Amino acid sequence: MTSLTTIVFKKELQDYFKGLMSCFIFAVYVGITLITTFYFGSFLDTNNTSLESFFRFQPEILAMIIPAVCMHLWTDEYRLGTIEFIMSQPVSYTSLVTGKFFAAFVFSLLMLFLTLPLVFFSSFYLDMDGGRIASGYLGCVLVVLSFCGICCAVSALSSRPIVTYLMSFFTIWGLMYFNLTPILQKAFGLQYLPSGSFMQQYINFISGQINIGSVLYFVLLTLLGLWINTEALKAQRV
Amino acid sequence: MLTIKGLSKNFGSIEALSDISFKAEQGDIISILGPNGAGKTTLIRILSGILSPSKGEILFDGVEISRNRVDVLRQIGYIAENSPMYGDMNGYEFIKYSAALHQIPKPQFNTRLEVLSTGLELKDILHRRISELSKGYRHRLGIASALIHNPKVLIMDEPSEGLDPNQKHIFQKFIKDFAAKGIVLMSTHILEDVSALSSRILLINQGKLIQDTTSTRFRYQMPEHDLAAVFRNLTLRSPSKEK
Repeated sequence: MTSLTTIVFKKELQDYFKGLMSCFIFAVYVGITLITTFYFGSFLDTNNTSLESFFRFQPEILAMIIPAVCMHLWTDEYRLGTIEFIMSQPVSYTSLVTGKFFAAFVFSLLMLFLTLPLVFFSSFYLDMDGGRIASGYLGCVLVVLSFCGICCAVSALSSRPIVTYLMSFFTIWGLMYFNLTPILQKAFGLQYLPSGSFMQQYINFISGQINIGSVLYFVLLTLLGLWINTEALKAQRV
Repeated sequence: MLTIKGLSKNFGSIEALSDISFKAEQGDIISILGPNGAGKTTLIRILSGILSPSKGEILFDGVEISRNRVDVLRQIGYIAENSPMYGDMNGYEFIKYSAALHQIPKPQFNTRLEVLSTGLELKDILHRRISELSKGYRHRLGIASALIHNPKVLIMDEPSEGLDPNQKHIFQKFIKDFAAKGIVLMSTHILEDVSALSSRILLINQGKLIQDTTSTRFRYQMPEHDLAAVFRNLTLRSPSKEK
């Protein structure tokens, strides 16, 4: 990260911890995760050595939470009028976009970090499959990465938080079930991207299969989001 | 030196600015005057890098702003109308953030902050939350953040709107001091500021520059030497008639 990206990143990350919003988001995420893992995933009734009950529902949970994490990033700048302040500073669009994106990503990783006690306590009672759990967490991190990229882009399109949240939510759900691979293959000329939708790529990770093509799939989605975000900012000047 | 050449701006089919050209040099305090909707704010936003022009060039010391946006913005301080700020920061944090974005070293930041907080009488409120501050203090905080990097050009949109007479006095004194070593461009429709501060007046109407003159010449266009009378006389006529 350049020094200007770091400055924007620090400011945005600090903003998350002003007030009780971060606690609320953490509590909702952990609460929903516990309910889905133990109730819908029947965690206690199955032999969960790979924490499948936990990982299975993560994309859907993150699809509800990440739009809330990212919705203020640009929307608040428009709403408060501070977009004029930030756009008149000698900072490149890339630094602004990546600074805000990394703040949202790190905050979301902290949220994911709160689920580690589940692994820790389960390891007392079960013979855990460390490889599959690590692979599942890598899948979750990549899902968070791509969702943050997409939601940052959407937040640059509206000045109303609720509109931003709903647009991000529906965009993510669309992406999760719509097979984007042929489009990404065509757009980036990458024929070796594995076929399959977002959810199929994620399921590879929770089954313990880490393949570079699936990693690339999520990274490309993130870059696409960041590119749209930068273009949306440039369009503000036109 | 700031040079504006043939600047035009269209929003769809609406022509907000048409073929604006002028030059500004060190020591100039230029008021951009015009009725509501004349294109003053659009011009200010283009000059401060927020909007890009549809046509024309802005050269700062020979460097074109759209090709070197970041480099040129390092030389410019901008205060938007109503001084939008992050309400959950305190004054010190806001100025520090602005300084950090301009990559000002810490010793230089401390010196500048001392000068600005003394000159603008901000010392007592620097550690108060911005959302708790009055409009006058927010405005002065906006000036401090715009000047923290010691810019060569200060651009302001409706700078003294809503200030009480004491605050206006502090503001005007500060702007005169700054103009001794820089360029000040301000959009306003408060004629009292124009007569107290400006060395030059740019009058814009319907997106066209209809007068670029000194404030004395501007005033003496009417027998009563009244700014308001001249303003009315010029802006109630169409720009085409003026030519």
